[in-house]
Amino acid sequence: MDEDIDLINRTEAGERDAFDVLVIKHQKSLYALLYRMVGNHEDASDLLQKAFVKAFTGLKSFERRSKFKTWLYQIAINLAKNVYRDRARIEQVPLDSVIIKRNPRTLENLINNENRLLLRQAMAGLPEKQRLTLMLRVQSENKFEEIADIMKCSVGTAKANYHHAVQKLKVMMLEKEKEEE
Amino acid sequence: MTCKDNNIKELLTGFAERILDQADKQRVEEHLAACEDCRSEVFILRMMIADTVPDPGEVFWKEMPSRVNRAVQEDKATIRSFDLSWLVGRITLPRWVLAAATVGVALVITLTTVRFLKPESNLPLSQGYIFSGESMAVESINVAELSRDQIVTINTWAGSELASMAQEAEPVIASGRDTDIYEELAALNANEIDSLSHIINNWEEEG
Repeated sequence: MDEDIDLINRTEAGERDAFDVLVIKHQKSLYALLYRMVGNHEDASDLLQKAFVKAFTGLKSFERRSKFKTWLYQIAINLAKNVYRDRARIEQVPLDSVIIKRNPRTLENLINNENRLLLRQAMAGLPEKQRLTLMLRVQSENKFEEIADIMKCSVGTAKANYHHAVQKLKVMMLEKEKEEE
Repeated sequence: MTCKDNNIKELLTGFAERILDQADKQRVEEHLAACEDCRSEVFILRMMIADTVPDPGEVFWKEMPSRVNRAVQEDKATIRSFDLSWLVGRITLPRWVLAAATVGVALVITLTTVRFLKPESNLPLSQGYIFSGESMAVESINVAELSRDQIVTINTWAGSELASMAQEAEPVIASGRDTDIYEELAALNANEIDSLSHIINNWEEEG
């Protein structure tokens, strides 16, 4: 049996510590995703707690057709969307105006704070589904099948969203390269 | 130009994360040497991977289960104090019943007040009656001992009090519309909900 399902069964049987194990198991990866969505520790930690509380109180509605992790991520993403939309409204920068300054020496040198900030701004400019798909794929190491479950779409749509997101970020970089030439 | 090699595309995330086995890694490297599109994709992926999330620390991780626990308990307590659903089934009454209940309560208050009066009191009730500490003591009143003037005074006062209450209740009675508790609750503001919650809690405590 899936370890998470076993822990859920034990939680429902009244073994409260079993849910603590689920929290400990999933908190780091979920926090990372939430942090990337909302951009600060206060909101991320608050959302993390709320997601687990909602999962605990709504455990009976978890139908076990998907993994617990998928269901938990769905809860967290829905909670974060409101906060994230507010942030995006404030910080969104049109893709055309975002410029990543490439350092021609080595790839690793390109990864500096300035570029990170610009990348975040560019990410904020992506449509929500594409941005989330990219985050789930790259930063939470999910397979497209899992992403499709979390985003409630087909695997093909998940792949397409990922592809479009990457392409849009690329356009931004290529434009800068042309400028340098 | 956009690369259409889906087999390689599938490997780029793993390549960017440096988790591919040697054979796949070599395949991707050979492809990247000739494909600008995939090179820029790997660049973006590595930038994202490098953009690590600050670790809030071990204390934060250790405390999270108990934080969740506390929040669950607080949520349960909040739900208990604000759960008005049990009230819904009880207050789906015609408006005339509420109006009649109001008049009934007013009548009880009036009669209770009358019982505090001393028989010898000659003060006209219509001008207001101030109870002294002594007169607040509950005494039984023999109506037969009251003078005619006292009974007329009480009757006049009670009549005028009930008339004003009946006047307030009249539109409610006339409308004949059943009470929709959901509508009533939805129309309450935050303070009113607080007050209602407080009253209900008191009722519950008092049994």
